Amino acid sequence: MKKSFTAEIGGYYFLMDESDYRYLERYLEQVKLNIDGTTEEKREIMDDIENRIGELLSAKIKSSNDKKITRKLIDEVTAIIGKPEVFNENTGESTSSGKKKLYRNTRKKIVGGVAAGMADYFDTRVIIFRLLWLMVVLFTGVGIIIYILMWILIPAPRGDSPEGDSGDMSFRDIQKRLEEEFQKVSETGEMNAFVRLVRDIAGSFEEFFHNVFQSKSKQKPAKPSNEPE
Amino acid sequence: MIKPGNTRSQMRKGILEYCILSIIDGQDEAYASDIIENMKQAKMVVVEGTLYPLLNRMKKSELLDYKWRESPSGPPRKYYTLTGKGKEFLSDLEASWNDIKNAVEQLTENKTKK
Repeated sequence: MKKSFTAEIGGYYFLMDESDYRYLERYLEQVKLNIDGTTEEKREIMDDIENRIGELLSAKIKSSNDKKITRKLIDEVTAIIGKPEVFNENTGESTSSGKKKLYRNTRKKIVGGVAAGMADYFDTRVIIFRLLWLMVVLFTGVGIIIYILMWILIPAPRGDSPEGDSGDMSFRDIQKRLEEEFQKVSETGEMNAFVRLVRDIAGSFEEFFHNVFQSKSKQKPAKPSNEPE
Repeated sequence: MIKPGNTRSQMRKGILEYCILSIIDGQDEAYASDIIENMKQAKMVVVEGTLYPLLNRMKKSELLDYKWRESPSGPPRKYYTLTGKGKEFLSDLEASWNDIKNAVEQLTENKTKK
């Protein structure tokens, strides 16, 4: 026995299982995480996407024998819309407005506020990053060093530190990888994704450090898209 | 530092913008699914989702405007039109696209002759 109900998606009504509804909801949340822009812009884009999903689902259900939206139909439709990562790539570097920057959150800190800052950045709960850091520190030899480096490199919130923003540029790389890995973890529950994640963070970090070092030595940060408007 | 991925995405974005504006201009007004349909027919490979942030941004930079219209089936749809600025931008894009196309043609022809 499963709980089914009627869901409204982009102005269309569908009968679907609660678990499938959650499944679609998770997809939309992940898409949203990848979109750049102000809250208002995000809302509008998400509405457009939801409308399109409604339209596609409605077309699919008309041409099939099912009365209920199945997981398979959802997968077909989300494949048409695209993986959540594509939204990130697309909006990429050209708009400078509403771009989020990574800061440590010194108000919610336990150690350096790195986990809290990351949670703010990704708009998720801080416990996720705390557990993640704990694992990284416990299970990898370099975990502590990475943490300390991030503590140093990620700036404190504005007004809290005189040097302002440094090092949010290459964090995009880390961010992307993190999001991808998170997805893998949440979709498949695969534990070794954590192992890969750690490896990837270490890799990004190397690159990150390299970039910071280069831009420092040139006295001109390689950040074409970061000037305020 | 130039990242190849970045350049590629800029290029794709530029081409996509050009195509979207052309489609809307050709139909006077279009809703997102029309645009997608047109692209599919032309065998332009595009992930649908990437279109929406782009439309949103072009609306924000006043190249596009939209109206809500009732649809024969389902909920109201957003119909996009080009603004004056959008039309200007489109002819600029047309000119630069032709330049690029000519240049590439010329250069690649030379290459094959050798």
